[in-house]
Amino acid sequence: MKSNKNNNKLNGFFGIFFSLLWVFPVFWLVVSSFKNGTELFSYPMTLFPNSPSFDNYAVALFRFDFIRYTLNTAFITIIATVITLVMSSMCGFALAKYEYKWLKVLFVCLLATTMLPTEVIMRPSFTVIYKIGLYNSLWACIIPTVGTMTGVFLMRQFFTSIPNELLEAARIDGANEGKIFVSLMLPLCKSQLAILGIFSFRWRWNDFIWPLISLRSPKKYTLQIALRTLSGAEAVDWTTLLSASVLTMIPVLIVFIIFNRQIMSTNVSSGVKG
Amino acid sequence: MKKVLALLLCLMVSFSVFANGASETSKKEVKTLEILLSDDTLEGGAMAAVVDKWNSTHDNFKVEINEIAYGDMKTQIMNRASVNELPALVKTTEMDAYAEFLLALDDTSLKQSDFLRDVTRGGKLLATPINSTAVGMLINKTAFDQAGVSYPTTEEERWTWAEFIDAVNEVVAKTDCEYGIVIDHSAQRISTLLYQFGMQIFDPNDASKIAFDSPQTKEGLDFLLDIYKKDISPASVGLGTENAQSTFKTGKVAVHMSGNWVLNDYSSNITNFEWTPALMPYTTDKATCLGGNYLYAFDKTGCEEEAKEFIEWFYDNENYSLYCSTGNYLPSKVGVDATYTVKGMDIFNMELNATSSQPAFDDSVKNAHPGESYGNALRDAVDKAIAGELDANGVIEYFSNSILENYTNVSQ
Repeated sequence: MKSNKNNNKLNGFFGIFFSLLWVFPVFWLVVSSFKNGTELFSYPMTLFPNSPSFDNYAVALFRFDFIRYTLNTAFITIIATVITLVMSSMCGFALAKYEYKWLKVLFVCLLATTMLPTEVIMRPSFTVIYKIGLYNSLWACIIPTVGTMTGVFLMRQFFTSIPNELLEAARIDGANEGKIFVSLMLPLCKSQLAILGIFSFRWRWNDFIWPLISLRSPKKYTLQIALRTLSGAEAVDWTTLLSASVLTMIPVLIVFIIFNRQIMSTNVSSGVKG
Repeated sequence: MKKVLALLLCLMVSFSVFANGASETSKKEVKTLEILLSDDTLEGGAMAAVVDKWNSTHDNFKVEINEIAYGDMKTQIMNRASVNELPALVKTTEMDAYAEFLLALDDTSLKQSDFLRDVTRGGKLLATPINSTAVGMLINKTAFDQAGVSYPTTEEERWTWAEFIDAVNEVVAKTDCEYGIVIDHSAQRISTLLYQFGMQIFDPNDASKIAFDSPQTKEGLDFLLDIYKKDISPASVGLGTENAQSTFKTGKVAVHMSGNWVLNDYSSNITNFEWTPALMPYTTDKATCLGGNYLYAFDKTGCEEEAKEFIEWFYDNENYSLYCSTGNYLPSKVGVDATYTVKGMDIFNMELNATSSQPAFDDSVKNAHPGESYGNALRDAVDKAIAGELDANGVIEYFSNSILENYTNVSQ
């Protein structure tokens, strides 16, 4: 009993220590975004700004077309995330619950695609996007990214854990496959959808290389491409870069807070099923 | 669930309308000439000011700026070249890599003799040097004044490198400064110091001969390495793991060897001490290295005539002066004056006027080898020397071999 208590204390200590280790750089970034250019490089360094100011945020918001870049990024992120969730859950369900010939082979083939780094398929993907006329379109940042095997694998593994008897009972009650998927399966995998939703949102929101390749017009640029312009050949606008970085973190944080409860409940529900 | 699906559908439809809106609008606009560039906003928005002037005084075509990060310029150009969607105009530091795709400007009113830097390749005027940069020194004026050490602002007062070391040692001893100098982690800045010791990369009497292996080069390299060995400069800055510009901003360094491009940043972001440009020291030669951006047009973009018209208008003295004054750039066109909002640009002009001819000669040899480059071999070799892997002779051998490996028709 005493040993358990000591273990809990030790776990708590390490938990708090590693949390602080992770949170500190983010906290430093946020407080530094309120410093002016002189204070940012003053020596000795100070953690908190002596004269905090929102000037850097005003510059970040008005120097470049922040609203347009945010809307472009939001469009790509939301649409890509919705399509990723729909595709991954349907594909995962099919791979887990249907016993067609070659389906397992198809699954292994799909799984094998995860061994190819994204950079390897960028050139062929770009050629396809250009040939179908989507170059310099926001859809070019969405379509190649929505079919993620990580998402399919996550959903398939979850659906595998659901007893087949549940599906058979529904079929006996007269439900068709679409009805089973939408009314029975999807409500059961809310937690997995929330996790995949958070990951997908984060992937697309922070995506840099693919939008850089597939977009060429400033009207279509995303936040990450715009942020990079603050790092010049010989100078970096650190004050604006810090404040703009904080602003771009906010939507991801909001999404995480909204879906946080779903993630926490994942462990509980998977524990019951196990 | 139905409500959620309906909401998602509405979202997708409204986003689709938003996404298509931009392209619908652009179809109705007049012909647009695109300028792909980087760092304009960071450097004060000079091109934006000139483009605004064009758009408010001309209606035959519109000029639009496409600003991307400096580091993404090559990716963007190569990618767009692969699908024949190159921009009409580009402002960047690199021109030789794209020389075969550039639009010759020989049938415009511009001539090579209008410009300070060589922009002809194969006898054709392929670009324009839109602005010049010069390597120079910035000193912590507060520290120098506090130590009672004077600094050179006229040719007569210019230090030798030995006098410079004495001066910064005195500043460090008498003030809060911890280091005498920081030098940018750059082959150009290292070259400038070596040119001041009499270094030659190529033999001025025979451009096919490498002349880097000389007592002058060795003396310069020994001097440079001593700066790090004696802790006059932090080795971390010499190795590039710490940024020289950021280190100078702390106020703990007496001198920063950099260039005129830092003036805008220092004017905005240093308020806790005074700084000012000062003339660079020398041992045998007064020297600075020129750099800067080019403005050129790509061929076969469908906007060739418009591009030529804009470039000619841009280099009209009044418009070009507006560009240089707004961005605090050193003009690259002969006979153009600019008024600057930052102090000390005259020092960089003095460096340009006093420089020896060797840096320009070596640049001309490099330009005569299109598609061939030894990259940052000199900087890499000096990095190894600072880390203790090479000595001055090792740096000479490493750099000479890099030239021999990468350039055709050159010999030791």
